[in-house]
This record gives sequence, C-alpha cells and structure tokens, in this order.
Amino acid sequence: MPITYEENVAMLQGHCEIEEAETLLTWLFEHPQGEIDLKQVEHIHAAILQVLMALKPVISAWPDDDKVEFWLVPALNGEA
Amino acid sequence: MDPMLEAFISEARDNLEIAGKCFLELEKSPDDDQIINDLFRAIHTIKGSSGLFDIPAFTKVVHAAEDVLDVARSGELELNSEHIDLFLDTMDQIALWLDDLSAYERLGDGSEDIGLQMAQAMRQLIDGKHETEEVEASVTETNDDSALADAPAWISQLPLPFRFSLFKDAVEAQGYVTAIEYCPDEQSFFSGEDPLHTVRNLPGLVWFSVRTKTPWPAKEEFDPYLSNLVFCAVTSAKVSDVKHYLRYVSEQVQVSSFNANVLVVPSGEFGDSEPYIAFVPEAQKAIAAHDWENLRKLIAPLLQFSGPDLLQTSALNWMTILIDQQAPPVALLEALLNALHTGEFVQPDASEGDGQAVSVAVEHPDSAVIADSQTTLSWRDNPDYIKAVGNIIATQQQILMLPCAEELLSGRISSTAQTLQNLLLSIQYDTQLLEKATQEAQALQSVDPLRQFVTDIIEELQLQKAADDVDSENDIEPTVETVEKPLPAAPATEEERRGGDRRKGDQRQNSRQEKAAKNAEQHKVIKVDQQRIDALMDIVGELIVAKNALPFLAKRADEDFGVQVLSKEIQSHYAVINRLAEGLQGAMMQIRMVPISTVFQRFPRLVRDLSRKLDKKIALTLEGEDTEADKNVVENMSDPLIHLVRNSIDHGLENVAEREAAGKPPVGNIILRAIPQDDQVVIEIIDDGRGIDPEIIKRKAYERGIIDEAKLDTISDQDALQLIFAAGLSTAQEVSDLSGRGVGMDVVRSVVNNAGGSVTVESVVGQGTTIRLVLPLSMAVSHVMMIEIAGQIYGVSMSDIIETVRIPVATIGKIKHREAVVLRDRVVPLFHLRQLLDIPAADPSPEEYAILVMNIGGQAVGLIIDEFHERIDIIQKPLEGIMASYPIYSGAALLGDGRVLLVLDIQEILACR
Repeated sequence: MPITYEENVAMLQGHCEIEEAETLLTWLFEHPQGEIDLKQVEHIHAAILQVLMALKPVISAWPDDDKVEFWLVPALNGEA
Repeated sequence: MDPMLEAFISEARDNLEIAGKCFLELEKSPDDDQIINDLFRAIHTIKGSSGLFDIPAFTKVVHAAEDVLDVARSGELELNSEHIDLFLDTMDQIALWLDDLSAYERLGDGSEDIGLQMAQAMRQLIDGKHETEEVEASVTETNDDSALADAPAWISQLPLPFRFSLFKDAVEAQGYVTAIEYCPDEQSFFSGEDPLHTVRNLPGLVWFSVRTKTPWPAKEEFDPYLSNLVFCAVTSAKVSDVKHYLRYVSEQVQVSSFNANVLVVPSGEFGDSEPYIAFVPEAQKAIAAHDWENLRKLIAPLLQFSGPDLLQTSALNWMTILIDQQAPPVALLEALLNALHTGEFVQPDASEGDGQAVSVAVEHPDSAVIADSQTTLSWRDNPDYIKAVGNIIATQQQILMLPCAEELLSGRISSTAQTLQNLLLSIQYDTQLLEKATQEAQALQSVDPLRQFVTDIIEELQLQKAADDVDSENDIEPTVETVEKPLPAAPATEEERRGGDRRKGDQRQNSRQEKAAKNAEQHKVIKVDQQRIDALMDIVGELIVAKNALPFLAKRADEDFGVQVLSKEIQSHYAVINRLAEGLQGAMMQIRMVPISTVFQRFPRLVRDLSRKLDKKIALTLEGEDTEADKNVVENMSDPLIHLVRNSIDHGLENVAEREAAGKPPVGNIILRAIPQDDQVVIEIIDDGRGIDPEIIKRKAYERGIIDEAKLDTISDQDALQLIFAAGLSTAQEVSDLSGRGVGMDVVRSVVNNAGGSVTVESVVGQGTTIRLVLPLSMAVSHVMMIEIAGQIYGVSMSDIIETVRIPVATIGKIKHREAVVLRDRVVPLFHLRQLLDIPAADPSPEEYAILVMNIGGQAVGLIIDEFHERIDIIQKPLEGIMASYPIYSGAALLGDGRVLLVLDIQEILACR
C-alpha cells in the first residue's frame, strides 16, 4: 500500500497512483486536522498532487528525495 | 519492412488515389453527395489505420481533413476551389509522407510542425474564429532548433541555483535552453495520462514548477480527477527531442527555445555598493581588453566576502561562469558590471547585440553564427553570408596549419571542432562527419583528420554552389544530395508546400504528375486494378467450363458416332488442357492469395490500446498467421474480426479484480488462430473470460421476440448461444464506446455468410468463449458435387459434405416418427430432398437410398437423393433478378455442356422446413 493511514497521519510512500486520490481525499475530509507524511515519496500522480494542493493539509515531513522536493515544496506552499 | 506498415501504405495510397479523384470531380459538381461520401470514406479509412502507427503528425492532418469533410458532408460547408486546393496540397503531403514511410519507415524531419500547421489550416476552414494566437505560436515553433524565440517571462524568475546549472548545461550542449508550458487537458487523467509523470521524465529536464489553472473550487465541488494544473519546465534538450517526447499531447504544450544568455539575470537583495567601487573600473578595463584571466583574479577575492543573498554576489557568480565560456559575451558582462554598482540590470537587447557579435566574428566565429542564424534561415540567399561562412572555414584551415605545442594540441582540436560544429549547425549541415573527424584527431593527437574534413567541406560547398546556379529546383534540398542526411529537412518540405500554394492550374498538375511518375519508379510491385484481375478470373472460369465440355464430347464421339479412337484422343488432349487450366487457375488464385497476417497484425496494437483504455490485462496470441486465403476473403474479414476481438475484450474478459476473485490468473488471454482445413480456412477467436450465459441469451431473445415460447423451452444451450448472431439482440449490460458502433454480431454473421462462410460460437460460463469462423479459401472457384433429383441435376457445396453412402431401405429406423439411420455408432436424422423441394416421391420406391451425409451447423444430417454424380469445380455466380429471391439456391453455374447448374443451399432448405 503506497499510502498508509494512521490515526492522524497519512503516510505516502513510493509511487502513489491515481487510484489513491479518491481515498486520500475522503480521508482528508474525515480528518480535517490530518497530517501528511511525504518522507518516502518517489512519485505521486498528478491527481494526488491536486488533492494536496487543493486541501492544503499540514505536511509533517517533506520528501527525502531532492528530485521530488524541489518542485513539491513550492507547489504545496503556493509559491510557484 | 513491417508487413503491416506495408499493407497500410498500399491501402493508404489506394485511398489517396480515390480521394484525389473525388476532389477533382467535386470541383465540377460540388453538390454530389455520393462523391463527398466516397471521399469521406477514403479519408476516414486512412485516418483509422494510421492510428496504428507511431505517426501522430500524419494522423493529425488526416483527422483534420476528415473533420472538415464531415462538416461538408452535413451540408454546413460548401467546398470551393480554394478549399480543394488546400485539400489537394494536403493529399500531396500525405503522399510524400507515405513515400517517407515506405523508404525509411518514419516520417521526414519536421513532420510534426508541418502536421500541426496543416491541421490548423484545415480546421480554420470550419472554424473561422480560430484563435490567431495559436497559429502565431505554432509559427514560432516551426523554426528549427537554431532559431530563437523570446523567452517566457518566468524564465528569469527561476531560482538561482537552477539557472546556474541550466546555463552550464546549455552552454555545453548548444547554447540554447528549451522552455515548455504544458497545460494538460481537463480530461487527461481519464485517458490514462499522468501529466506530472510526463513532465518529470522530460528529456534533459532541469527544473519545473506546477501551478493551478484556475483557483481551487470549494472543497465540496473539488474533483481531483479533473486536471487543473499548468506545468512550466526548462530542459537542456533540443526542441525537436522535446517535441517528439510530447507528441501525443502536442496541442497542450508550447515549446520554445531561446538563447541561454536570457538566464543571466542577477537576483537578490541589492547591498552596499561601496566594496565594489574600486573593482568596477578595473573590471571594465579587463573586459575591454578581453583579459579574462585578470578579470577572474579580480572577482575571486570579492566573492569571498560578499553575502550569499546579495544581488552583487549573484552578478559576480554569473560573471565567473561567463568568463569560463569560450567567447565571453562582452555586452552581458558589462551589463552585469553595471548592475553591480547601480543595482539595475538591463539585458542587452539581442538585436543590438547582433552588430557587435558580428564584428567579433573573425575572432569568435561561433558567437556570430548564433546571432546570425536568427535572421538568416536560408543562408544561401545571402552572398555576404556565403562569404562569411567561407571565411570562417578558411580561418579554421589556417589555424590547423599553424605549428602547435603538444600540450596545446588537444585544446586546439576541440576549439576548432566546436567552431566548425556551430557553423555547420547554423547552416543546417550534418555534423556526423565532423564528429568522426574530431574523434579521430583526438585519438591520433594530430590535426590531420580535421584538416582533411575542412578541405572536403570547402570542396563540397563550392560544388553545391555551382549546382545551385544551374538548377534552382535543387535549391530546395541543398543538403540531401551531398550529405548523408536521411530525410529532407523541415524547411525544405515546407518551402515546397508553400510553393505549392502559390502555383496554380497546369503547373500544379505537372508537379503532381512528376511526383506520381517518381513514385511509380520506386515500387517494384506492380499494382493492378482489381477489376482487371477479376476480368482475367472470369476468362479462366470460362476456360474451365469450356474444358469441362471435352469429356462430354469424347463421350459423344464414342457413343453417338462410334469413333472410339477419336474419343480416346480427345480424352488425352483433355488431360493436357485440364492440367494447364488447373495450373492457370492455381496461379490465378495465387495472385489473389494473401496471408491472414495482413489482418491479424492489426490486433496487437488494438489489444494494447483497449487493455489500457479498459484497464484490463490482456495477453494476445496469434497463431497460424501464415495461412493464406483469397484477398477478398481476408479483407472482408477485417471488420468482423475487429468487432469480435473488441467484443471479447470488452464483454468477455474481466478486469483484474474480477479475475482474481474468480480464481483466474490476472492476465486474460485472447487467442486468434487461423487453421487451413482442406479448401477452407478456420479462424477462431478464443478468450478465457466470463463466457456467455445461454439462459440470459434465451431470455433476451424471448423478450425481443426473436424466439417464441415453445422454442424458449426446447432450444438447446448450444443453439441458444448462436442467437447472439441474431439481429436485434444485444447482451451488453451497458453501451460502452467500444460496442454499439454499427457493426453488430448480426452484421458479422451476414458478412461471413456473404463470403461463403459460417460462424458459430461455443462458450462455457466462467471459462471463456470461442467464436469460430469457417471461410472458403477462395471465393472464386467452388467445388460442388452434382446430385440428381427427379431427373434434374443440382449442385451441393463439397465443403458441407461428410460422406456419401448407399443404405438398404430396410435398415432405416424411425425415432419419434422421424426417419433415422445409425452410421458409425451415430444416429443420423434423414430427410427426403424430394419432400423438401416439394417433388412427388420416386416411383417405384428404390430398394436402397443414396444418402448424402452433411454437416449442418455442427450436426450430421442425411439427405436422401436419387443419384450421386461427379464432383466438379465451378465458378459460382449469384442469382439475379427474380431468382435472387429464392434463398434455397446459393447460386448458379454453367456446365460444360451448356446446362445451368443450380447450387442448393442445404442449410437454408432445412431451416425452411
């Protein structure tokens, strides 16, 4: 499972495909205070990116991978 | 070449020919619906098949043409001569592309741009308000790699570290940077795309960013599956590579290329300028004197105490990077220096820079090339440019002649090579030979290979100049003849196209004829109009009939005239003529025979696309593709097979989850198999999907009134399955875009029947479905057995006959009032053909029956007839006029003695009973 849901944290790992977008969205609706852990993310589908961009959840950990971080951080912080 | 591509090219050429003819006719009678329909069909077919190959530009153009024709067909647009001009030019381009495809198996360089332009021009016909912006954008894009566009504003806003690394990459590569703006279609996720993935894998990607197209809607209305993203990306790859990579979404991206110098913008907070006051004049002097070493020394200490976030620091860093270049851009350095003490940076204007750059040209020719290529695309038009090119090459030659210290040799080789390469790129020359020479030179540590290359290139350029003077036509493709460049360059074909626009009337006609003549030379395959082959076929058929008359003659010679010797001689001559006629017929058949693979090969791609679209995993196996059959038979089967395979995938195979739930391997199997069987070919489409439930079919057939209540109770499961071929029965739970497109199962059956074949289905619920088509190898000659009923001779197709037996009347038993006989441990129901044909029973009753055992719908059936006769080959003709309304006859043929042989359709006769 690329996304593991814990009590208040959704942990995204590896390649998160489009199928996950719906579940993540539902989870975020149910957990408005839920945090997102992106530490081990390698790729997320554009639809998941949209979920994160639109709902702006708190990011508890940014990706370790520089190649992911450099675009993900500005995108989610609304800097781009 | 890929036989599938070959088939496509030949088919497309045929259709193109039809289209061309139609266009010309259309010009004369614009209101003729028939012509427009033919035209539409031809273009539609080309478009459809072209989608199977990786030629998006081609498909795009044909698709646009199809759309325009569709509007014209509906009467909303009347095609005038101007429109037809455009269409004809488009057809020419398509013909050129087909030539490219048959020669190189790919489209020529720059096809994507041409395609985009043509498609837009086409669409403008139906969309008057077509945004001019888009057209302009595409014009900038049509320039090739060396041409520069204005950089998008966001480029200079990129984070500094990325600009540094991008600039370094760009300078190493070619001095250009490629910017991409990609706005994915809202629905793009539904076609299986991941735009983010696409962007992240861009060739040479250095940096990209994501932003939203429109502000996010309220949480409740937010739909994560509608794309609302815009990507900006920068790569160091060539524009052509990027465009190729993005070819499937080319409508959604803007690609532009610009000089890397645009990146040089100092950024940061403007700090105290005091520490730099002493530096500025010193640096100015160093720049003026081109003393880069000194400048570097001046910068180094300053960098050490400059704060990292200051504008000054970034300006100094940029200067350091610029000095490392082969020919540091003076204007840019000065602008940076200016920023250092005023805090204002003004990018030197490219157009102003031109003059300066050219004046430096003798020392640093490469910078001149970059600057000039902006304005001069066709360098041969400009005598000054030719001279400049000559000068640069001559200078390089001189440099290579000069004596040189060993340790500097490698540097000299690479600098000269770099200069030459830039030069060649700017005049769109192939650089392969140069690269080879450079490698050799470096390996040998000698300038000789390069010198040789320079000498060669001088010779070549002059040769061409002379050639240009003689024949201005060749001007279009200057590089093709002398350099090993596989395809004409983009500007060339475009030039030709534009030229075509201007030329009118006879001239255009001439050029087309020339092209056609050229085409004809290229192909060794003789293309023969099918009508001629059909005419030949008819003559062969008549010859066979005439030949069949000889045995009758021999019989008469013996019996009527009593000349046995003559009879023998006629018979021996008959043997010879028979052999020749059969040979002729065989050769004739061979001409028309094509392997089934011509149809089968379309399927791997179809299956792949469908599997992606439907998210099912499918493995396709093709078997017996070498099996040959008559061209007509094979071609006629193309549509039914596509429909059947689509059906199997769409309705038969389950998706991965369903399969796993049913305990099946996740990958579904489809087997397409062709088996030769005597003079027939059997094609099977086998899937291991969910199968067809006969109960559902029965119920639906009853609901639709296809079967009545009595039949509902008695019909066997096997027979019920065959009802899927009945008109008006659709078992699809819902209409998807794959089914319901006009070709239903009933159409499949009628096409197969018309080709003289039959179709059956077998299915086990949960295990899969097999659909079996049995087709004649050839539609031209049929083997029939002659039978006699009440003194009249009829024909019965050999393909349905299992055996002929004679059985004493006494052994015939009765089962439920039906006559039947046990043959080889099998009960065979019997029918009197006399009864079926409503002919009075024979008188007196024979002591033994002649029985024709036939395979009807997979079941053995015995037909009681009066007498068997010999087997003959006939050219069966369909019945015409009044006779056409009797379905019990499948056709008629002429016998050797002049009688007409009616061929019975036994299946139909039994069905009418």
